[in-house]
Amino acid sequence: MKRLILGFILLLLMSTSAMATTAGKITGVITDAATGESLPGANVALEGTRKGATTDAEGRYLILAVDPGMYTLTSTMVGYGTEKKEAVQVIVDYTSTVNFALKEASLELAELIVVAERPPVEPDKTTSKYVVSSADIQAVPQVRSTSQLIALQPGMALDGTNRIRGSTTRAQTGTQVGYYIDGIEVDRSLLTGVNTTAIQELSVLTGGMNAEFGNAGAGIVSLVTKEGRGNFSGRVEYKFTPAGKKHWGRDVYESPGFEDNVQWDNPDWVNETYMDPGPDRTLGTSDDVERMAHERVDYTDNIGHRLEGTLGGPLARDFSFFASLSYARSPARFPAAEQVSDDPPRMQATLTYRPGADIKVKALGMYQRSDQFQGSTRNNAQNIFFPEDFSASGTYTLSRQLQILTLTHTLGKNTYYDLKFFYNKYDRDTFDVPDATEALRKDKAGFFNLPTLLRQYTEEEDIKYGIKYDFVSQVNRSHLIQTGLVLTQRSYHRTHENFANTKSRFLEFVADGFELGKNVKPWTLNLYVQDKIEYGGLVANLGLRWDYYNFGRNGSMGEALGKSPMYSTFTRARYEMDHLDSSTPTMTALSPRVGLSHPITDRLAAHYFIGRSNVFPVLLETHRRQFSSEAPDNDLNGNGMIDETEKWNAMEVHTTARQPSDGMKPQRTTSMEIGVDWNFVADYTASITAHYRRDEGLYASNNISYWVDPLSGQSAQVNAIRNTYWQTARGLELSLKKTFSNNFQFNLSYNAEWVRDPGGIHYGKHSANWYVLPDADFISAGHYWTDWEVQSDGSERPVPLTSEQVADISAKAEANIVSWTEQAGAQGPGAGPWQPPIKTNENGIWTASNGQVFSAEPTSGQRRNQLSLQLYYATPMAYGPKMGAINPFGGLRVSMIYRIFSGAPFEYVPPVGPREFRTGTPVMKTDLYAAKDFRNIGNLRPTLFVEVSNLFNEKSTESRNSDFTYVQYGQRLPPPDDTEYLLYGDPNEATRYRYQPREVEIGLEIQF
Amino acid sequence: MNRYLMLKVWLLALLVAVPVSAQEAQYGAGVFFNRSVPVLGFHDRYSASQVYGAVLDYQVSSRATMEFEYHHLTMDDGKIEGLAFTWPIDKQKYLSPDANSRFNLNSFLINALAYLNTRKSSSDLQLLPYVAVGAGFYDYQDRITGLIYPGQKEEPLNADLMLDDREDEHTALGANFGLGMTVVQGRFGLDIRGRYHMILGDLRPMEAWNLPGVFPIAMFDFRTAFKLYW
Repeated sequence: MKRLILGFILLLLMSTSAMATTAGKITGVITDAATGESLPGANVALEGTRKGATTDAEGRYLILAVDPGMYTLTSTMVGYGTEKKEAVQVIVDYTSTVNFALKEASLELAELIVVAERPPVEPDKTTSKYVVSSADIQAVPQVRSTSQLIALQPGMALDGTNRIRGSTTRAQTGTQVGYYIDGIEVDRSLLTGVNTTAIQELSVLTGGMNAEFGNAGAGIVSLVTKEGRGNFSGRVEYKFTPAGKKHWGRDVYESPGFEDNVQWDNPDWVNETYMDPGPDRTLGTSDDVERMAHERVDYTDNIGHRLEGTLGGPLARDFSFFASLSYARSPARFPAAEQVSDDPPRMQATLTYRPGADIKVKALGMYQRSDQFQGSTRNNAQNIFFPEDFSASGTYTLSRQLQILTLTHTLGKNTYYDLKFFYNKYDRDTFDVPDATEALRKDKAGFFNLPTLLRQYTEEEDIKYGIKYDFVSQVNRSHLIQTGLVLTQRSYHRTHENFANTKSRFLEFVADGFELGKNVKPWTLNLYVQDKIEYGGLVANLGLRWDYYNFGRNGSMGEALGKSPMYSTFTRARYEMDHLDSSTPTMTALSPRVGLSHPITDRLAAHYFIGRSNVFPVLLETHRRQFSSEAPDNDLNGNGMIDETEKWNAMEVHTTARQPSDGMKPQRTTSMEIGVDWNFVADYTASITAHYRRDEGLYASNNISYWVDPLSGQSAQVNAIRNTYWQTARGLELSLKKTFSNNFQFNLSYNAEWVRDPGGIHYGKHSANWYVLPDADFISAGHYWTDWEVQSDGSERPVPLTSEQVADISAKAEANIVSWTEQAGAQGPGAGPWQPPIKTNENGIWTASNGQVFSAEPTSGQRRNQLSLQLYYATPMAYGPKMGAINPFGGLRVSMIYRIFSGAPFEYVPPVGPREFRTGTPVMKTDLYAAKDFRNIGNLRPTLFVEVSNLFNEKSTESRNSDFTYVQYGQRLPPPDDTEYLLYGDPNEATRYRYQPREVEIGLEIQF
Repeated sequence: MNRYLMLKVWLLALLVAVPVSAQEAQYGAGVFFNRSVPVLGFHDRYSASQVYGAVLDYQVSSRATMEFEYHHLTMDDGKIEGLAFTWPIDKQKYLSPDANSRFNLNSFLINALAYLNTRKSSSDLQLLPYVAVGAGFYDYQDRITGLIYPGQKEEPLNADLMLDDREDEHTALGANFGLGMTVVQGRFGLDIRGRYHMILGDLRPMEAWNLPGVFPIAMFDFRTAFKLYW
């Protein structure tokens, strides 16, 4: 493996070329308009930049490392007139071909300006890639969050879940969708926190992915941020949300779910009071306050505001900047701790330095922060009468920041490299956490909760920093070689305590050793090489990627050791590190990919892709430890206090603690697709793609691992994470798109997916039982003991076994191994045979299964359909009849988005016959945006707009009282013989529906 | 009021009296009457019914017309009214005597008509076959009342215990396509069209009555429209 790494590095160093992930290229031929002959030595300049090129002997030019966006290209040559091509769109990784036919100056002196058009079908689309430019974003102005924008792309789950083409979203499976900002992998929450107005280009790869992308099975979302250009430009937008009830059903204080427990006509109940502990959160002190136990608030009488602004332009010579900021105060839908809450402000800024045509330095900074309440707060259930601003466990702060420094250096006309340094930090901290959990307090009727304190907090830090290097070279006319590496160092810790009641204690942590707060430091290295071959119209993308993951932790991965007598408590488990030798776990993965684009005509192109990708485990799943206890800690040294060394000595390994297992391998995905794009008439382009994906070895934690104790013969269990199940997804993606012309455009996309998922709703056996057996070597090496001696400081030290004990227990351990070996092959209690034990740990740990295997084939599958339609209509300012100085029909912009998708799948047991899969009622929603642009006032262009969410007031139902009564009788609500329902009504009338009622907002936008 | 009515009649008469060629007539308006026939799963729920509506035309070119259409449909006497359910307790079939099922639909559609021959600049009689494709929103309510609740557990069956009135109410996107022919002479047109509607809406399952869920709602209609051009 080391040779392979070395080979890759040598390849990088020796390569004569390179291309980054956030740029495209422009190429073309310049000819004499009269003769058609190519013109060597002609110049092409990219306006607004210092980039340009000169044609070679064949009249061909090439401009590499062009940032995505719209450009004007100018071609000049002595003796010929100037020709400009406007609206040249550059897309990341794509080639924009722009040809010029220059006229001799004697024939044509005037400058010729032509509006360029991208080809109706992309000739170098080798996999399903949906590109959203900043112009496209302006056509869906009602989409104000990046997550909604992503969800609208074909192949992405329209319901907003983080799925591509039916991919799994289980926590253990890790990132099946990769998210990138300016070429750097980030968390989804950071990317979706980017203001849509700060996006230069968003692309979604729903099929295969180029070799530069990895650690994702289903697809990639990649975002390139805007940069400032040579002119100042900006935009400020204000949106107003009127007050009103924002949910279905009655006022929640009259909710049927409360039945008779709200007694507004009962003066005793209305006037009931309780003692609030006040700011010091301690009852019986001077700041206690008497409060009404049942005080209602008018939660509907709150207005909201949203402000977003962007500004970009030159800053100094060679410097430009772009900044974006959004801020919102949103009224809560239901009673809440804050009836109007501050949405997290989102800030991002770029600073670009272009000292010459060959060098660009871009610095990106992003910061997101939110302050939220921890633990129970006022809600629309039994906490409905909590005071405003009360939280049971204090408050917590989340902050995310990203800094990327990118150097783009063009080495020649055919070669450049990108060097990126990045720093990405996530931080969570909790404040005002109570020391203990109070007993739950109720009102006198015993139904509604009174404020009580809960000890619960999470303290977490996740830092990723590193270097990314991409090297791109147009080796010759046919080969664009791209290669690169990413080295990422991670530094992470997490501490989470939750005392659910006055007795229960739960501790979860990720730390280096057992030093809470000390970071573990795993690291990854990714190397890739890719060749984009353009030959005779055919485009091929060949890629190979190699990933390495170092867990950055020592110690055994042997699950169930926490249930052995040696390591069963928090204080004893510390010795695992001292007594078990184990090298740092690592994983490697190799991922080849091939994509082909085959233009059949200039209006019809086909593409094919097949590739393998791998996903490493989520850090939290491989590093966390969980302990719990119902008892207080023990004063082992009897000094009348719990010493620091005695802290948490009563905390035992949590019964359902999830532990990684030895032998975990990366999850593997094989995906393939075939698609056709057809520009069948004018601006209308249809696309159809058939795809297949198979995910293998997906992680799950529903495996039971038993520690088989050689002395007692008894077993105790934990949950283990293993490569457990697989799923397949097949489907069709259809889209029909009309680019903007004749005042309108639209984009219709339809997806149908069939997902077969053994780990889904009811397939096969969910659990597989595994047994962890120590052998004689383990015992004799001193890894096993049963007794402890207490030290003066309260700590415990293991008492080594006597030689007689070693001999006795070793024999028993060996007998266990022999016994399990002998029964291998016989029918086990599950569907499969007993499995022979295999040695999975160098310390002498063996693992065997009793045959509780997963079903080889799923018995059913889910089918999901979704359709979205985006319509955009816009008129020029001078459109239609004039009334005085105003064109009432000019400058109108109307955007509508319609969505419909299958309801959630559910399992249905019919009166007769086997179980079946059904899907719930389709969910639909229509949003509308209408705006009127007014004429410029100086350099300012004002726009008034109105936004309507859920235009048709759709009550798309999310939940049913019972699946059976829904299928049999079409009954979503409780049945008519349900006495409580007859008496009170639908208890879930406010929350049964997916979308809230129609909401109308108005706003003002000013551009300059 | 009468004065306004008279004015409208005079204007209409004036409009009709002035001869105009089909090519010159860029706008048109008309009313139509349909026979709608539910198909696929929707056929299990309702029988064919009458539709009426209004249409506005805008002639884009001699080969194409844009049409703005409103139509209203009511289907009474849903088939579930005559269906019985089998009560699992005694295995007997029961009919709900008070069952009532009604389907209402209002739609606003934008259609494109592509003529197979050129609409000539002439006031002579012209036959214009065309292909029609359209899309729009279909607002529908499917209301069923008076069904005995079959989920009862105790004998005998209480025929007065009814399911809640059940209503599927949505505004759904839909599309239609079909073939037709317009007969034009001067200002007058007779438009005959057969087409298929697919509405992306659902009717929830009622499997106790052997009625699976319906998605999409689909129907054919056969339309006769009388149009006036100017």
